[in-house]
Amino acid sequence: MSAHVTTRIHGGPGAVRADLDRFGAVADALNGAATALRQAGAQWTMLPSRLAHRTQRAPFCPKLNGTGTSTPDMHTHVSLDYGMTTARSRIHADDTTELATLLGTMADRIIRAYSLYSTAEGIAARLMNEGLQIAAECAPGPTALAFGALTLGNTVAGSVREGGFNPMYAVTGSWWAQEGLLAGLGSRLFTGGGPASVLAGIVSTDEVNDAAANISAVSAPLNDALFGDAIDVRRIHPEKGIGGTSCIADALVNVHDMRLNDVEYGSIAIQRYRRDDGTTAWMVTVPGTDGHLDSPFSWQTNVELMSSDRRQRQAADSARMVDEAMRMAGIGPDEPVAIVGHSQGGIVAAVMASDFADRYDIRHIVTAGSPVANHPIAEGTWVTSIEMNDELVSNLDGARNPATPAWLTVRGHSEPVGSTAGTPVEDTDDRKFLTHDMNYMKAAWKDAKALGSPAVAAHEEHFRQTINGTLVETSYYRGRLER
Amino acid sequence: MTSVFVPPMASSDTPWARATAGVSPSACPCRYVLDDSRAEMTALATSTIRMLRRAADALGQASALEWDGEAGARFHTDVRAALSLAGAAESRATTTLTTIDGPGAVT
Repeated sequence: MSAHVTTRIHGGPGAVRADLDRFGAVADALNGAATALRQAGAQWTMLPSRLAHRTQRAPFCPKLNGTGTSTPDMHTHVSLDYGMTTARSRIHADDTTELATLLGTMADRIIRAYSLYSTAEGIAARLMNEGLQIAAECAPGPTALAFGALTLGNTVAGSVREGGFNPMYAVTGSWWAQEGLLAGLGSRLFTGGGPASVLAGIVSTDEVNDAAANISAVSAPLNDALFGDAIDVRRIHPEKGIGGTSCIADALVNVHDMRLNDVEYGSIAIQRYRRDDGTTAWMVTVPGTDGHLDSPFSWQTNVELMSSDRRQRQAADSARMVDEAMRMAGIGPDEPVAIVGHSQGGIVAAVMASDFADRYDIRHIVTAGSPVANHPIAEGTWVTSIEMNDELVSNLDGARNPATPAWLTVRGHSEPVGSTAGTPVEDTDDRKFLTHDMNYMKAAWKDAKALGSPAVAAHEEHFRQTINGTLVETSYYRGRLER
Repeated sequence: MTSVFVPPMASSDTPWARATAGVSPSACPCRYVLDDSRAEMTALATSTIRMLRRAADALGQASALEWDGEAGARFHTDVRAALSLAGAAESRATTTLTTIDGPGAVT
């Protein structure tokens, strides 16, 4: 059986207030009716045993106890037809439970499609994160112990459920604590965790990025010395590449296909589109970390990309490589650009939209599993972020993404193993996988689309309008670090 | 003290049957057991019908929502299915209500 995801939508252009009120009232009414019916179902289920219990008030009645059938006055004793009452009870328990489930599902669909509790969920998440951050700063030892116990407990519980050891639960089971604890760790490492730092941490959300800036000050020069600072970017012609892009789902397929089709590591794709009015639009596809030491998309580059210092982000190997490839492709400063990226590719997209906005007209970026909450993305760029709740990587920013009309986050929740709620994930089975995988991102987007959310539809339309043309050419560029 | 439900026994030739054979109908509380049980089932069926009507009202509001696209079409299909289910469930609860008050419920 496949893994399944359900999604919540945060941000994006909302429906008008009156519509939201109407949808909210219906969701409340459906939920209220579902709760009442669920209780009725439970009562019908228990009724046969309650009726049986009542018969104890007449312990010597020959009829109630099915004895004395030959007694002369048998006809004057009375009993309910318990066979009938049990059968009717079962019918009503089934009816009410089935209807309650259906009503609850419908209410949930309205709530998710119209993001009815998104603000409250955002506030709750922020409070949770800040609370954990304070705990991590004030009492790092006990907090670390508690987190260790949590991950161990989750691993044991998950492995027992699956019937075999699966360390993945250490990551996925502690998802709700990851953002807050990482923010606390970041703050503790570089500010010392004093009262001033704790107070500052309550109002800010970029502690991880500040920590990344401090680490980069040491790691970036070291990285340059070991693997080289120059980047050789050249055009390549892979045997099998990617298809055209007309919607966000296509963009996600393509960023995945860069890997599935074995396009060389350290490569990106740039597609040129001719619009009806003769102008040109561009689609840039950026895969994630590939782990090769001579690749601009190495592990260590992530730290620079996450820095709160603009110069460090701009100097990150992968950002420079994408900039160079975009320049080589001939992307003009006024030509609309959309960028999609998975993991590190998504952070690069956010860096391009934050720090290269004076060179390119980046209208829309799509990030999949990328920690980009604190990147100062230029006004005018729309961001569609797809994340999984328990993937860890998108939690590395220590904060939730801003929820604004231009920034929509589709947050996938991986359903427990065995559940069939939501959308199935391709190439998964009944074991828990790392949900950072692109298959989960694609399933989350598919689930969000199926909800019929106006916010998702608006982002999809904006993405289409950014490209809105005929594919002319797909070029591939490969980067290699050199001394 | 924990009370234990004694399951009915079919045979009359048991110690239990011989012990209870002479219970006078006027002294037997079986009539009260019957009345109380009927009352409980009637109350539950009545409240279920009330809940089903409340659900039908909520579904009526849901059917008036304007929700475009495939998701909206699917939602409205579900609304119709749920309304049909609620109607059938109410009909069955009404049957139970009639049956439990009728002579057929008593043996």
